[in-house]
Amino acid sequence: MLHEIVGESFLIRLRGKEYRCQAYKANERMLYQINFNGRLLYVTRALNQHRIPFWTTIPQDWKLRTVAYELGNQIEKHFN
Amino acid sequence: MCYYNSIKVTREEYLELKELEKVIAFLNEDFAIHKGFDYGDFPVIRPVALTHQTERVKMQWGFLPPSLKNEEEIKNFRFGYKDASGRYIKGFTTLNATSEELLNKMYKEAAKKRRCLIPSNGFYEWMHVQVVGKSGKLLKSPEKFPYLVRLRNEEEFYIAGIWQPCFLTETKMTINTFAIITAPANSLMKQIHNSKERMPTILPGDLAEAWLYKDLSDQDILDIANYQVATADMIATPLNKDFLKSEDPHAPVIYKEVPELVYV
Repeated sequence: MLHEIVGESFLIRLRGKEYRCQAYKANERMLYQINFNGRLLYVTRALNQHRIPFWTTIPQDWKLRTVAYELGNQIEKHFN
Repeated sequence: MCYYNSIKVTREEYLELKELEKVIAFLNEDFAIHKGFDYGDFPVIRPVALTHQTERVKMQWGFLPPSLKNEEEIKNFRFGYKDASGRYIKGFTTLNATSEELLNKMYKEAAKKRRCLIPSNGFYEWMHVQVVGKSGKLLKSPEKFPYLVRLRNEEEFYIAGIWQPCFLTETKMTINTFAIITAPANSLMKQIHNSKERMPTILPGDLAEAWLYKDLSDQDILDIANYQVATADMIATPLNKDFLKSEDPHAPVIYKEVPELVYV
């Protein structure tokens, strides 16, 4: 199982709170580990059937779809 | 086409995302904080039958006797229940098996035939301290201060355990469960886990090997189960009381109410 840490961890803000985020490269994809209220949450940018990107938690968790979307947006904001 | 998180993705994308799940399972083992009362799965090392090799498998923390037949009985065993007459029957906490009770009825067969090791980077215990309230008087209940306890020179260490398969006849499923062995506390753990004065049985390499592979006598089993790692080899760090919810759960904290630990 290949994975490597990419860069330093960084903070993202969501709904007034700060969360620490660490990027990983796993199987040639970027994976973001977020310390989210005491649990480790993983999100990645995936592509839908029309090759339009969306953010999803890994593993999939329907209840966290909105959170994944919002965290993903904050990660993109951090890098832009 | 397949669905991932209810969004339509190509089969290739779906397979890649499923592969990522395996990476996360691997990453999670490195970072996980396991809470006993969640009765979750935990990596355990056990010998492979008829070989001198081991395998790392996941088992449920919380030893179950083999006599339980279904989920309902497991729930009753762990959390207690009211019998037909309305009398409350207390549940059993079997996350830990004390070294003293290891050769008693429930644990005996596992202690003789199914010994295992639980890999760990550290464990948590709470020091109970009587503190003075705002009125200047001692509070009735002691305050609890969490500590992370590790070994000074070992990143990973092994705790002695026993495991037990529990075959649920109704669903025809087997649940493998385990308990951690605990011994009387050494001088450091007496200061930290001062409410119970116990500590997990952390085994050095030679004893860990004997625990897994050797045909041990009852006395050998008790001797190893009672092994105390030396205070000088351990290091304990006080943590934030809400460390489980903290961004950095292992960040050390200084409490003025807590006496300094003595490493002798």
